[in-house]
Amino acid sequence: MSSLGRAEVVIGARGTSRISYLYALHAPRAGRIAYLLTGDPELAEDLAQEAFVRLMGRLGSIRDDAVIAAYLRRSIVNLARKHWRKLGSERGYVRRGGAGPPFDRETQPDLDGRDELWRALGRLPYRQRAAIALRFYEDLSERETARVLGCAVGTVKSSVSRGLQRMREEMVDDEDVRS
Amino acid sequence: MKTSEADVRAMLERRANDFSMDPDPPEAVATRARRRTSRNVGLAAGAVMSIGIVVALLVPAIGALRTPQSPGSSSSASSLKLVSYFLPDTSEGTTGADAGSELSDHIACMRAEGFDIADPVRTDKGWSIPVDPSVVDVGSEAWREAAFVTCRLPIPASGNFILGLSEERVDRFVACVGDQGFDLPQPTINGDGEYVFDLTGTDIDVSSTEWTRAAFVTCSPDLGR
Repeated sequence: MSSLGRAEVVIGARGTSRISYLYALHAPRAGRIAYLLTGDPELAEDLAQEAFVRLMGRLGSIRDDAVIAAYLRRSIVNLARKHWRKLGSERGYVRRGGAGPPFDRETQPDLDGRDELWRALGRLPYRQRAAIALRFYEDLSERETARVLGCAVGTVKSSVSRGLQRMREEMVDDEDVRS
Repeated sequence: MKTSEADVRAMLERRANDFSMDPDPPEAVATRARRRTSRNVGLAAGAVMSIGIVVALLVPAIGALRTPQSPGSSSSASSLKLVSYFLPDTSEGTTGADAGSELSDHIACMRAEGFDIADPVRTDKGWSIPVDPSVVDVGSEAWREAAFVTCRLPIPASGNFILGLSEERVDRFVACVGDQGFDLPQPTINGDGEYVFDLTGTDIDVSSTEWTRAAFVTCSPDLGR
């Protein structure tokens, strides 16, 4: 056995590290959701950090991990929506000389056609994209998704349906262009 | 054409997995978070107690960590909510490959035990091994047994044992390890409100299998209730 002298064993989130603990537990997942909604990893991290800071102001009324995750999810959805509104629209953003929707940026070889799907997701209106991400990545029910998006269940159903349809059409168009 | 619901799910999963961010908050974020938290000091303290079940094993004996036979070594785990292990050593490496053979052995052992833990990341606090609770069930007895018994890193023979939990949970933990044959000394409370047990003068060998199993496996679940 090694004898390293004085050692310290810590059980429990300590003083200032409590923030680090909660951050490590929740922020990366919030960041992943933000990434699916924005297609921009740097923006996603910024949104996750902003949502986390807001969460810390609400800790008094939020104690359960699942509730914390739900709070962050909702924050991310709202922050991402605000982001797109601020830009006017994704198309407007491009027209004004932006770098193009981040979903269109190539990251790695598209071996299985999923990058096309990713780009098709990025071209959807925000609500459709968010509804698809919440339903199919977060595995939320239609009712839960409606709560997060602040809309009716019927709107979630139509957003998902239209979003998928639009993605299919995008894929067909892309194949037509290639052929 | 790949546009079925299953394809979309797979694409989202893959893309989400491509995204990664530092599990430690940037200082500016931590500062803003602290400011927000301080507005709710009383309430936040209660919330942290109900959430914060982290077990970390730190070995800050800087001099000893520099010796060739004893590179920085520590492990940590949580009964329920482990988020990372920390290895506050002073080695110069910045990648997982430089983390030291003991840590590498630990990671290889954990993976061989079936736990898909990440490579260590160099932070300003030392080596950190992030653990994603959605991937690894750190609340399971199997995980704790692997992390603290089967694959445990060398642990110093004596030191302080600190519990940052509520008095009631600390009492339960003390009673539990007492039942396992380990009598903890009377704790003192430090500036962070944590309960510090000085094990230096006791006959508890914290590097022993018996102690690690009692503290992190047998009695650990009690901390999460």
